[in-house]
Amino acid sequence: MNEEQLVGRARSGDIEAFEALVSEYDGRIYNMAYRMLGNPEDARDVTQDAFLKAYSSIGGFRGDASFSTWLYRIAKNVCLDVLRRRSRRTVFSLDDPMETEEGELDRQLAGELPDPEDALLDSEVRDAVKDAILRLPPHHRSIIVLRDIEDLSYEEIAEILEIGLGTVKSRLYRARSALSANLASLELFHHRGVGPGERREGQ
Amino acid sequence: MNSRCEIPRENLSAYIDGELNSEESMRVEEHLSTCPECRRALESLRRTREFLAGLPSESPPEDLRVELREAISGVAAQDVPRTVRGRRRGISLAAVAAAAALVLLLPVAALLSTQLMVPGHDRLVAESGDPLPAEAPNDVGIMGSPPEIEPEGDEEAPEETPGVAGAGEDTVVVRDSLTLRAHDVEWVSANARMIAEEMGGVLRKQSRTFDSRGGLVESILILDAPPEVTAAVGEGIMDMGTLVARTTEEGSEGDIDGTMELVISVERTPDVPPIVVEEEPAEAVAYGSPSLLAGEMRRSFSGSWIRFGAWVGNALVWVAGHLPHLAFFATAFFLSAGVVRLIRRRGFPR
Repeated sequence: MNEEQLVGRARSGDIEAFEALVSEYDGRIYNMAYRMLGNPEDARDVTQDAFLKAYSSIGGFRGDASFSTWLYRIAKNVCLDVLRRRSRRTVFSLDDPMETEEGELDRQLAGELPDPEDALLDSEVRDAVKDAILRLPPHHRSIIVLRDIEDLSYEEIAEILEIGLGTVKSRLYRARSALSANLASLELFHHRGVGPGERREGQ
Repeated sequence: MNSRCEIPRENLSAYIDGELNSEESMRVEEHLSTCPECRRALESLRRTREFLAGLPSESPPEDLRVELREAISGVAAQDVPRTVRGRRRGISLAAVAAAAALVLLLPVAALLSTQLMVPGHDRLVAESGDPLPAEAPNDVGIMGSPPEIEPEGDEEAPEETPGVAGAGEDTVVVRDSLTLRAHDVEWVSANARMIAEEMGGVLRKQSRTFDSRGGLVESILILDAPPEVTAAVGEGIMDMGTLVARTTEEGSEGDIDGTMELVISVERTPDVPPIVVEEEPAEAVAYGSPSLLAGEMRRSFSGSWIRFGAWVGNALVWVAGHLPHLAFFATAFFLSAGVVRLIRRRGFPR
């Protein structure tokens, strides 16, 4: 049975069909949630929540987008809800200078990142990359995760985030630049001479 | 730096992704051959992407699927998906009963709400403070101004009444009103600011209003924003998830360079008390932000609500005399509706 048929059956209340869809996508949704939120507990909750929401609202799914896009959108919203709830605990400081000002990004981009193959993504580096993602603001984090972790096309991303293709392009560029700045400022790479101290010099 | 290069920087990242058309790709390649700076930037982007690709895919714990299965059957047992139920049974008895009860309850609730409505009704607004009128946030306290304010000669915009559009020749004041719950204000406004600044908008002024208990009630950002920034902020804020419904039309299509005024506020008790509305839609909107939708409904239906208000006023006079009876009937109807629903859900014993 193909996906369309499964979705059709699920819409008419066939639990087994829906469960087949769950088995198809739970890994991807979990992975996305994990990268968005940074810990297995939240990822688990989000996955469960997203599928339950999908189940109870599948009647409203009209097939304008693909099922996976629709599911990702739900999951993204659940993730953002979690982030928002978290933000109530850790308050943003509005007066902090922006970390991602244009000039700083450009300077950063001109700097050197170590060769990923040299660094051989060992667990330390993986943790560092993970942290670097988690330091991005939500709108950057979600686009990076959808593109570079979940490997979705620009078009799919546009539908999931409900933004235009042009915005996908520019936001992704900014997100990657910010991430590259985050990576470069990590302890790990200090010996390469791109520590945060140097970045602040020009301000 | 950007200005020296004839290709937009963002095309570098789209180039890596293979998301440019052939003409654009060619232009990028041509440019790369002459611009060492962009070559470095490209390399940096590429490495960043490789780092991400090197992350392992996290697989869900084994019991998650089982748990999910149980959760779903749990939901399924007590609630057949709506479309199915509707098709199978037509309009349900319970819905009819509930509607009838509601019709009877409405005037009573209206009466009660006018009698009981106290300033503290909206927990987010100061007990004594009269709610800020939605259209005139002039009296807000300026609580914090960021370091990068750049006052220029002819900037009058923040002083002008920020009505929709048309403050000066070159300045368009765009108002996006978002209605949120208190704790979200800080978060959304921080994000809005981040998006705007990242795109080259300049934050000119920020004011925040607190209620007497120190809760943030409203945050107003005034940004010098090129048109695409206005759009991006609108989109970006929508992207904050279920928080925000829609930005106003003027907000999402600023076509003139100018000022964007972003008003991010918690829901407030409206000036003209629209009586029942605030309580009514709460049930209807299970998904999304109830407070927001309530706000939207209020806006679009305000005309008819005024007429409705007059009708309610007349009804009240009559109702006042019959209050105890009505309350009794309404309660009875509600209870019966509940019982009918319960039976339907659980099913009759076979």
